[in-house]
Amino acid sequence: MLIPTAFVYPFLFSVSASLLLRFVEIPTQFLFVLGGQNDMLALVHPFNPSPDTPHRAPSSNRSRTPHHRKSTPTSRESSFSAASSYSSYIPPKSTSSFSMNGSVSSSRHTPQPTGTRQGSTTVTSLPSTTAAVPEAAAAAEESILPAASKQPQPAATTESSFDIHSYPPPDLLRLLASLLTQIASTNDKLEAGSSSNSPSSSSVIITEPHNPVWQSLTTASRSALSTHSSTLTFHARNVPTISLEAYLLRILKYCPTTNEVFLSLLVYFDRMTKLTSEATGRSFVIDSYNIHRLVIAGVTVASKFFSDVFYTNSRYAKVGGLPLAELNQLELQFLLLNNFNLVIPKDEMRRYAEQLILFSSVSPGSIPSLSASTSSSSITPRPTPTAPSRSSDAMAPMRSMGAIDAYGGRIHGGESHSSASLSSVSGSASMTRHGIESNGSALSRVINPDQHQPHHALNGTVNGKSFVPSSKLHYQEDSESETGEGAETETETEAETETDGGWTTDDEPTIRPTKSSAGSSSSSSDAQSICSFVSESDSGEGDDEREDHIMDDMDDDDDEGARTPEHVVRAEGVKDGEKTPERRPFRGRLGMSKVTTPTRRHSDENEEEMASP
Amino acid sequence: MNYVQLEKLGKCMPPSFCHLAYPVVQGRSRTTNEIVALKEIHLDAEEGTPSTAIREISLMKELKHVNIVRLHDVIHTETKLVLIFEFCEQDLKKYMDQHGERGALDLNTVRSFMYQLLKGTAFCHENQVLHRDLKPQNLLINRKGELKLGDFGLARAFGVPVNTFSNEVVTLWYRAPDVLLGSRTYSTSIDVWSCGCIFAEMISGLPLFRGRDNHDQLLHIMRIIGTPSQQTFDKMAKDSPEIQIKQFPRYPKQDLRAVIPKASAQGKLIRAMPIDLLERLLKFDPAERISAAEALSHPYFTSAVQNSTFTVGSMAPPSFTFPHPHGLPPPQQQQQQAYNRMAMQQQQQQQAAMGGGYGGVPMHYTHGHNPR
Repeated sequence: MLIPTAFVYPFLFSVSASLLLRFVEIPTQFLFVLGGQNDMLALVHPFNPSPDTPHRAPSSNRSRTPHHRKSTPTSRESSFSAASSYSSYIPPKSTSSFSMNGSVSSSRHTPQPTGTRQGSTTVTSLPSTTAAVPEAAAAAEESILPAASKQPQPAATTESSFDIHSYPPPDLLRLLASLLTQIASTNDKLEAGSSSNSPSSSSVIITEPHNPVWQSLTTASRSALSTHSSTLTFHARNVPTISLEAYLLRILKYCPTTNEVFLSLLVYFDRMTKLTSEATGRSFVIDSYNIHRLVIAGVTVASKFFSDVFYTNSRYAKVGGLPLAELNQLELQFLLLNNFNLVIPKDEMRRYAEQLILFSSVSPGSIPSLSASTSSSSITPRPTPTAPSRSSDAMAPMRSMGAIDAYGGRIHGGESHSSASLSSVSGSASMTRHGIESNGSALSRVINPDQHQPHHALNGTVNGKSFVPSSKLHYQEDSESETGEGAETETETEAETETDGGWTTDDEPTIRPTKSSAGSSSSSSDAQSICSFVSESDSGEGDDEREDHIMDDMDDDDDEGARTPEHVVRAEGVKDGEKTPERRPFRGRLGMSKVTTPTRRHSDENEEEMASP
Repeated sequence: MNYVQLEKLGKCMPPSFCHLAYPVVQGRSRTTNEIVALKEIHLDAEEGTPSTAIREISLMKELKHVNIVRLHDVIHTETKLVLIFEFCEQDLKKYMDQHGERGALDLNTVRSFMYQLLKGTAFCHENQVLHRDLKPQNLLINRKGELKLGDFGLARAFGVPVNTFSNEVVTLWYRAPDVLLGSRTYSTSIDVWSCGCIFAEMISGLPLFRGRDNHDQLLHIMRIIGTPSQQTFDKMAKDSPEIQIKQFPRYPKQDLRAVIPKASAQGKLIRAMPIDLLERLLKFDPAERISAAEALSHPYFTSAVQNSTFTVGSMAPPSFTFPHPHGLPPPQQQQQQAYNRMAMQQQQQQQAAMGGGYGGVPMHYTHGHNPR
């Protein structure tokens, strides 16, 4: 039995260990996040008015943990010691966020008046992941582990039917956006709260540069990690005006790809932050300044890695609103900061997916059916309205969570509280509770509203409809809000939709997912609809089929390779490695010029914003 | 840089993306004095980091196995990435040209190589990686007689279900029939098919199926292993709905013994074994194809009798009179479609590549040894 355990445990552990998402600003201000053992992205809520211990798992798991640690090849020690040292900054009490589920699900189906969004200071608390962080480091580890490792199980089972692959991409992106936005803005606040400012400049716990992790890196990654510039590459001068959600949806629209590619972003961000801190002791903080660039670079890398269908970098650059040369640079840095570690085991991917979905049940969004299923595992809601949480409106920017806000009001009593305390974490370890609270609310006020402002106006509507289970409606709302984003865009949206159809057929990836909705956003004939996303996603399936036929027909004449789209492309002289069929150069015919117009508009806009220092 | 550049090995010295013409040079590590292969990847202004490089690096980093070319390091200079690979003297194609009798290797060597090929392939599959471009040019042989899988530029991880599989994979002659029919839900079995093709090629010295294009390739295949029954077609269509089944002429299955007489030329007792393995590797229906791991325990490898009964030099003369497979392609082939061109071009480059060889390098049979 020794042998099996030796194999199994390290595996389990390595999976889970990589899930830590750390946004750490080390010495003075503490950014949150300790991952649960099994789970990803977690925020620390040092203060839970109602510590829900029931969720904290029994200590039975404990014995396993050290074992994992020992047997893992790469030294987890450093990560853990880091973790524990952070934890010392954290005030004693912590939440197991699982309790959120209950409240969420229960409130979910209750229509909420528009006003309720107040409470919506949703805090990133991924249910099973939320780490409980006691003061003592050791204690911290212990309590984290069980909670994390035990909790996910029930959730996982209830979610078993969940298939990331067939999940509606816009919904997925919305979740992703809200999670990332939350992370980024929380980090913003923390940074803002702290006296020092530039994200990476602050003092560094210097780890031996020649620790084992360091040794395992490629030379290229080492040199990238040894300078600040690699992480700074992602840092934009200004916060891009486009919301992350809109940004992701935009990417989906113009560079349709599969859900896995988007989901993998979380994994990669996680790995980058972890690797950076492990290898160098510096922190790599994901914030509103760099999140967009991280996303576009990540999508580019992940598409190239995962998918046989992807676009040229110039297209990604256009869509992402930054110069090509810069995207190339970001892409490379992204690879280096990940040490080219792009392989994601199925299991790990699944876990992230589950966590994201769980997150959705805590936070607004979304998908009724799923939330319903999660609710089973939940506990009774405990809305604990706390004073600081009511800073409410300040938190509105969080609203990339979109429809969710509708549900939010209630939940947020509890949540916002934790968020407040969360942000307080940023303060310093020594903060008194009182200090923290005030700090928290102050921080929440700080959150910069402009990011998501466009949505505010629409919130009312959105909220009104959001609990309608139909996904179509959901999209609609969203697209409305999307359109609303730039009032001037209405006509343009139409144009876009139209052209979508135009270029889709030409530039459509050759290989369409058989059944999945993944790429479906690409085509749309519904020129009338403002709601480009609606038409896209709804008509997507049909179009898929149609296109498949077209493609099959072409394939049919397999002898005439020249007739398949790829070959046409080649024949047209788009250079390419003869043998790499997956390379599908973006072609500018017809629709392209039309498409670029709106694209450019955005990109110009963004270029300004996203230009790096 | 920690590596001294020794000499140019030619554009296409593997491991390389022949089609991308990345220069590969021989180098030596300053620290270990080990000879390495340096592959430079230009960072294209348009393309950024080539996807082939992204895949090759990230996948090969994970695949540490004696039968897979080891990626030692990656170095980033201003305009390029330099990949530091384990050095191998030559590829299987070259090896066959130099050591084979008209390209045909003796059966002991074949068995050793085949074993190592399957071993490396099985390891990839175990680690959720499809190579998708197995062919003699991508198999490297070092002077110890170790065979290693190289060129993972087309490879991809298949654990994570991304539906976007291309069916424009694998050099035509080594492409599985299901892929030729348009399958995009293929899996490890496509590498197994390629292994079968390579197996036959090592024995006979000639590629087994040499089609000009997709359709022709299918016909070549059917002429030898027979046109599958309608039930088989139906079943395949059911398994992967995206494939298109057309009407094919009905060819009877040929006896592989007749097609590749050399395979059964020696040793009465073991006569059936290579043929039997080959038949299992070359099943038309991917579902019936043996897996690489299973193939490793085929009696062809496990039977003890074999070693003693092989005698080098007793091979029957080749029965085919095809032009030498490694010769310049017939002119008409140059007019073919892109994928066809690609195959041919690789061949040409292959020819142009590395002149010198290591004649008479003693083979070191690694049969049965346990990698890792």
